[in-house]
Amino acid sequence: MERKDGVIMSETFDVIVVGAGPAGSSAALTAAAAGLSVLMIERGEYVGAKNMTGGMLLAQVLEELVPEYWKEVPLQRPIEHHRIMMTSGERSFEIDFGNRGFLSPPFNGFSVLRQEFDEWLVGKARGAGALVITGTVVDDLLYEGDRVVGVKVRRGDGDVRAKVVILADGVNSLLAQKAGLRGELRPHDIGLGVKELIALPAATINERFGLVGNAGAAYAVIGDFARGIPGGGFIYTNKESVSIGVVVQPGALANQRITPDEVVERFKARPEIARLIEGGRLMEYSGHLIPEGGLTAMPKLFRNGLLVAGDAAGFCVNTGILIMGMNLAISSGKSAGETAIQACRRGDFSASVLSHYVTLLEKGVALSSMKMYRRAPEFLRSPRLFDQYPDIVNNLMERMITVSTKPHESAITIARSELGRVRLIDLLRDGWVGGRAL
Amino acid sequence: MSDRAEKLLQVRHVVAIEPHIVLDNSKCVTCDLKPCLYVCSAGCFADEDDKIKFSYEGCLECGTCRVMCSKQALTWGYPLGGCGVSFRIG
Repeated sequence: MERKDGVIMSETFDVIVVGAGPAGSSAALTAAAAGLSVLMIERGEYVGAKNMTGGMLLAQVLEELVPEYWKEVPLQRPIEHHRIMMTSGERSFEIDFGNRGFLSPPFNGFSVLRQEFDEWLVGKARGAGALVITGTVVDDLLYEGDRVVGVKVRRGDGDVRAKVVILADGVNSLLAQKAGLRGELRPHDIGLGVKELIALPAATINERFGLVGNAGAAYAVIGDFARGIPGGGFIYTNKESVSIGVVVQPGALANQRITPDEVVERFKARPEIARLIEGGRLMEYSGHLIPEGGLTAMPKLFRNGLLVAGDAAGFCVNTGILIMGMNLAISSGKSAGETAIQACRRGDFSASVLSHYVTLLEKGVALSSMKMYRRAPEFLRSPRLFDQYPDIVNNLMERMITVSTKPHESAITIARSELGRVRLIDLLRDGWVGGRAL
Repeated sequence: MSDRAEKLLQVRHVVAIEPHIVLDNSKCVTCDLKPCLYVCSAGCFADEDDKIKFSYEGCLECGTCRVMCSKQALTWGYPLGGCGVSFRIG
């Protein structure tokens, strides 16, 4: 009998989870808490090593896994202020939605740093009895006929068997591809997120962002700094640092011959933004893909002996104001864990039993959000959204606020002439698509 | 030193002996757009004397090059377990 990391590799586990991010840990925690034997395999040097976020976690979903999660989870700041900014030349227009209600249970969004968060969540899975191995790559799945019966790990001659395998191996899931659940990712299905983590004292953050105590702010910024590339900038305040960066469409980067870090620099150079981070020290630079293809880009979610959750399954919604990813990962991971429990109870791991996964996903936030926002990717690809509209909004404001020696124009006249710069058909199309999308 | 090079100094890497991504740059000859030169957040691709050169050591493993290369010039995989990028904070 061969032993690796204290794990008896010839044992057949009830569940093997590939990937120890939020989806994987939620699946493992759910399954292990029901008494199943669970092995988690993570390729990073430690849990969280390959993971980054913008980022804000819409945290209420944690309540289903860990009641009164806020008493123990290492999150940064509850987000009180959601600010949307549009920049154009010397001008910027900002909307601030604040809600002090977001500062108390059940909360809403929290800024989050992934290493500490992922470590906490995997600790919950471990506490429920799951075994966790890090530093180990799963290169392929094991099959018996049509059924997945385990995984092949890279080091040694490591075949490990399981009744159910849950893939939570992230946006680049090579395993979901090998298992025939999906084809290649396409350029328009991905967003590239690039982030800098900038250290600042808590008092400085509070002063500059207009915050009190541990309350936080989130910014979504679109405008001319991105040179018309679909996407925008983001800022999230952490306790003693600021997460700042951009999410951009890589295809547009190539067309414009500009690199993502150059877009970050252009964003940071905006005076409205520069004053927020001035004097801060760079702690970390990171990049990651975001599966932004929406519902139609999702893979098949199961086959005999196999389930897919989180980014690997394409669970991500960009509403333009919010990006949901980690919460959908947690919710889908939990549903995958529950499906594995049911399959183990029935002793049947066929696709027909595992299809129950989809039913659970539809009841939760994961698949319902994907369906509700199924048209959002199309709207967010509108070239006018990131280029013309911020300009128009700022023109409108400027013309309404500027009073010269000439007769002042009425708001209606200004609006008519500004909106007249967009072709009516495009305006109607964006209004229609946007209205239906969001 | 460029801004990006300075930023990358803040990223922890455990460099594997074997590269996890291999570029066959003979396939780049017919590529006009060369998206790899622009989309990589770690700047791992460079155009030297009309040849695309790739170095895997600073890779953040985001996968953008895998999606954007239209010439199938990349053999893209994950580094050996425990190797590659290790975000300390994320």
